[in-house]
Amino acid sequence: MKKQDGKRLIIYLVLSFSLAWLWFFLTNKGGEMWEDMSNAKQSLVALGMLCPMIAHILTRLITKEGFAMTGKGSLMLGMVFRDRKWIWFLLAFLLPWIYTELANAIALLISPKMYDPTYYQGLGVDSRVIFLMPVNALITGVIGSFAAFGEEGGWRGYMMPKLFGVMGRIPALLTGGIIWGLWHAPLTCIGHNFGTDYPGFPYVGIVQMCIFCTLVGVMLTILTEKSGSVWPAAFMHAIGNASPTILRGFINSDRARDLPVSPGWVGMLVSVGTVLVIFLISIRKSEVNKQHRFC
Amino acid sequence: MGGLLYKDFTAVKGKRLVITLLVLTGIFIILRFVFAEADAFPDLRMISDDGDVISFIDVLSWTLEGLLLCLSACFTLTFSTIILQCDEKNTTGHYLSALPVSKQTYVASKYVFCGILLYVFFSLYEIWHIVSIAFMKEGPVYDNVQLIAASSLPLLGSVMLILTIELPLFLLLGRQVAGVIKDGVMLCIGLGVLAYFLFGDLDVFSRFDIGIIKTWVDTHEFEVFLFSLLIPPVTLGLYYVSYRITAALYKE
Repeated sequence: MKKQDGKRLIIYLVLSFSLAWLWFFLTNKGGEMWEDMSNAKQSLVALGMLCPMIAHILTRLITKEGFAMTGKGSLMLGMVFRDRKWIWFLLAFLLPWIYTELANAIALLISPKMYDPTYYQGLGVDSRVIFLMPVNALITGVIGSFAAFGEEGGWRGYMMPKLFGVMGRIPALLTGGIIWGLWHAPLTCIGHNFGTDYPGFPYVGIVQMCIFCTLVGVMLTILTEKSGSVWPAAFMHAIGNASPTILRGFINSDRARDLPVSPGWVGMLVSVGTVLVIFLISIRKSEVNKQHRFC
Repeated sequence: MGGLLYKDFTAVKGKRLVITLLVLTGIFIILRFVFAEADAFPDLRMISDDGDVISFIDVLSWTLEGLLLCLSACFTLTFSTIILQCDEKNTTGHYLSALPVSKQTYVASKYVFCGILLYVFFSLYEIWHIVSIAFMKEGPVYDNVQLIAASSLPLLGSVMLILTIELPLFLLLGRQVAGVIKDGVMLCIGLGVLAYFLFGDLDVFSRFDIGIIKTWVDTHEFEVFLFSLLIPPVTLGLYYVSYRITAALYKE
């Protein structure tokens, strides 16, 4: 069984990496940097997020695993709210806002001079709009969650259950995060997520992305495992990508050149805390949801 | 619930539809990549009176994108009727009464199926839009594509509102009575439009200036933002209320 899972996992990973990287190089033939791209081009490159789900479907076609929607070894596309499972959906909606805002608040505490009460005006945003940003991220995230679903349908819907089967829980969470981080490498190399202006670019960025993906991956995997569905993870991913924060409108990161740690590392610190909280909640709820673990 | 959804999926010939849409999307993406640089095909472009370069490929792409959006709305409304017609034709209700499926679950499956259809079509439209606009240069066609994109959510929201009214009618009154009511309403709307064109003030159209709307939108940024923000939750809320009422009445 382990050997079979391992083979299937390799097929999936080869497909997922090759499809996504091929898409990346096709859409960015000129090697343009992320910040130099137009919004339309960025969205086109980001469509590569659908590749893990496409790889998932192709792998199932190759391995003849079938396309069950719910249950063990399925696509995990069902949504169940019974047995207090709605809590995982609620967490998926709220967590991105909480940890993004916490990260911003801690960054401000470390370097108060980053606080700029008029920063949002430079972004051309109405002051009232700033206070609705978390709600906006929630709504646009859920409606436009297809891209995040593309990633989570592959990583959480196929890779993690297989990794759990091959190597056990903790090593699987670590390996899954590193694989996910490495998958983002071409994007990190053009300055997505962390920019280009940091020491050790792009290698430090790739390592940073692996750590970040491991931490976020733990949260997303727990949500998937407990809810028995990839949708909470997809929603959380999509809302997180939609930047659900009010404080960001008041933080001028150009003033933070002399920060002892970059805002990205602060975000990770908060992610560690959030992972711990989810872990504790998941342990408390483990008896209720035991039957829905994917391994 | 999964079985009921699969039944509806089969009723609308879902496999064929999915394959067709995927093939069309693939062809669209490939063609957009092949003709990415309009400058490489000078025969496929023209210069407008304002001096803007208009690429034939961009216009085609914009047309296809708009067509997909309209078809999404039409397909969703048609499929909602088809799944209920199939159930009536095959007397599915009788079979379901012998299975451990509650009436509430049956009603829920119809609402969920239509919701899934809308989500899938909207997502597909978004993909087409992203691919379409990525290779366009700013100009009149680009503005039009953005206009369609801005209207996509209100349009699909409207479809959901129509379903909010249509699904209870079909589920509670049956295909024939609901069909008569639907046709009656459509006829009234059609006659109303005709009457306006015959006897109404047509100068309104000649006085119509899109610039006024643009100016209003620019000066009322917050109101527009709030409106676009509220459309999805309000529509979804009404859809849910419709489901609760229909489920309660359907039980009896």
